Amino acid sequence: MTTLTQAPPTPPAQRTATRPVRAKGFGTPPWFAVPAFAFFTAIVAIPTVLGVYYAFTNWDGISAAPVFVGLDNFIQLFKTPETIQALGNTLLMALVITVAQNAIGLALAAGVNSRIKSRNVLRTFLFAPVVMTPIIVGYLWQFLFIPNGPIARLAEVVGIHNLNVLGDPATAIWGVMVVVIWQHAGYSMVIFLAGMQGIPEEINEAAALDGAGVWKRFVHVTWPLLRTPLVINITLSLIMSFKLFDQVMATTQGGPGYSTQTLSTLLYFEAFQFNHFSSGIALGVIVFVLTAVISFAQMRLFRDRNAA
Amino acid sequence: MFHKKGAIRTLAGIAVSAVIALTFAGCASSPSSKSTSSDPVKSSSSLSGDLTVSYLSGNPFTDDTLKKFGAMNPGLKIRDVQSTSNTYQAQIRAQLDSGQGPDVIFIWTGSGNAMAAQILGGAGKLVNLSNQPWAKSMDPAAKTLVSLNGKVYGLTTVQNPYGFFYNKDKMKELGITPPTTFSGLINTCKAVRKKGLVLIALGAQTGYLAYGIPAQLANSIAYTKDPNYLTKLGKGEETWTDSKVWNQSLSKALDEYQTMIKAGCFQDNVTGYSEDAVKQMVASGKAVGTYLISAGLPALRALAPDMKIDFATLPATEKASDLVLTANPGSAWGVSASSKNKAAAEALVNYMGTPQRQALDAQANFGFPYTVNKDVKVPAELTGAGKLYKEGKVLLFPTALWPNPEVKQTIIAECQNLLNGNETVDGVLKAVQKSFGGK
Repeated sequence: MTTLTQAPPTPPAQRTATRPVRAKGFGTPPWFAVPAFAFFTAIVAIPTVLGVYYAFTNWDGISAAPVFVGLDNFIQLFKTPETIQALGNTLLMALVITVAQNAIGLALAAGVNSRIKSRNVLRTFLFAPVVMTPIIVGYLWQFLFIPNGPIARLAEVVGIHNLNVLGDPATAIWGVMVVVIWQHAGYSMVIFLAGMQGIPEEINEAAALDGAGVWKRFVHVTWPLLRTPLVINITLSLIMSFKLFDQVMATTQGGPGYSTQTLSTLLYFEAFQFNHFSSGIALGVIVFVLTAVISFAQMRLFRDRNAA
Repeated sequence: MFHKKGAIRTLAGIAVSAVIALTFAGCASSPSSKSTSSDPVKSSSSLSGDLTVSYLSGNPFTDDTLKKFGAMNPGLKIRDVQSTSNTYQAQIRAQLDSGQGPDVIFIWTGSGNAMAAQILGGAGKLVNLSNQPWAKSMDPAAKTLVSLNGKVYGLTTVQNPYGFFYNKDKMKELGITPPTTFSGLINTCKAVRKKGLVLIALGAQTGYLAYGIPAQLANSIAYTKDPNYLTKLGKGEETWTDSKVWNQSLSKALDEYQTMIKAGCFQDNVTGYSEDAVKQMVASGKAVGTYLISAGLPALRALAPDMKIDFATLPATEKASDLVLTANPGSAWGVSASSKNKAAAEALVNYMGTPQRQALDAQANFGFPYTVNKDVKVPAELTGAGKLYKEGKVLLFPTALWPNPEVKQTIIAECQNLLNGNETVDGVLKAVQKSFGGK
């Protein structure tokens, strides 16, 4: 029987005295960080700060001397109905994808965290979509969703006729979300699975001895101990949802109409199709602020709950 | 069981280096093939030094052009820098911005993006090519697309027709011929539909295909009212917002588009089909043909290698003599203002602009040279377009002359909504009219 309560022995004092450097641990000299810091500053920090500045100018992507225009780009963006629709679509997608992807990921993790023989094959199979290129996944689902295609024919069997998922403005956004959730649920699964495997078996055994069934063990033992993976998963899926681009461009290109336009696809159109680089950057700033605020808020919420 | 573990500390390796090799250049080569006797630009011993040419990858005709030009000018060291379409614009634009651009650059016509002739020319990034031999004989419409304030900044050589590409054998089997009047088109649509097929497989999920038909019909209608309407708009003699010819024509064209939808000219749920999907419909015999730009032909040909394909322009009026060909302007070539070898760069563009090279370019890219050339060899798939081309009945696709790129995005979205029944013709017209004003 493992003695969990026994404290580990203290290292002999003599050893500490004779080998002071090793006993204190490997101390990394601060200047070791200089190359990384220099790279980060040159490649990330300076362009980011400059980018934010350009959001307040009229830069067209080619002229050397942009003029400062204050909040004009932001005001102009929020005056156009396309931006409002893209913002609404992005928020809806972030909410639905985050909830569904993590719920499915959790269910899959619970399923493959078992002793069944094929668990490793299943884990690989369920994780496979994650490593696929989003554009390829988009094209694949575009084919599956085609009217009279495989999914439409399946729908006919259950009495849903004339299904046009990606071509109908009412359903197109849900079709795109299915594509994203299908691809990323395996990612959430892996993180939840890692969390589940970190839970000591003894706790579940003890709960089982106390008469707790599978569901009760999950609700009262496993779930509370999955808070950290949950926070990681929610943060990652939120960030991914806010910058959703590839799957939208591959499946619907923001259409039909503007029904699947997201902030990221609008950013692309503003910058690279319309030559409104400053408006594009302003949209990038909006996405950044939204992602930061929501991620920070949810992490704070979970931290407060943990503290309580 | 408790195991006493020694305090073993392992110094892990520290991976610090981050070497980022951003090699955008696809490949560099020094062409060395032999010149042919028919090459129009003769070897010039005065051309020497380095010459960098940037263009989109996957362009065998340009590869061949450089090879031949290099062979004619052995003193030149030509370096071709090819990029894919998703990185090309950002990469070359950054190079031009820093004064380190290539000598000869693949650019776009009009002002639709940051690498378009009028945008780069206006920003002083391109050499004024107005005095080059090809610029003087350039087709007026093509010239409009690459000029700004009377200066020519690029050479554009090929235009690609838009229209109905159909399976000739399927037409024969159904006992129909390409319609030459609008009512004939509607009757043909109905007749084909009765036989369980569709005449035109439309991939309205792909942006340009959603508005291609009404834009082409509007062009044809406007041409009957004023054959010079596009030239006037291109030169700024009229504005898109105020042009009665254009606005009335677009209105009628959108009405006709709705009539086509109701007559079953297209398959159901067109906004759920992409360009690739409709090509498969044609290849599998579910549709007689599809609406495409000729540059999309190779993909259709790949799906149906043995199919006999021909082209027809969609009629917008009740007179067969009103039929005109609508063509999309192709790409263009410019010389960088920061080029260190302008003489060689201009010589290469001049070589590309010779009638012989233009004709070969058109053939390689399923298009036609801008300047009507009666001797041009028409590909079999474009037989139906060849007659109109040789008669000089060609109009540019209006997109190229629209005042800003938002118009295109607006008309795509509005036409998709129209096809879905979520928008009216008036709604489309108002949105398009508004977009002409830009931001």
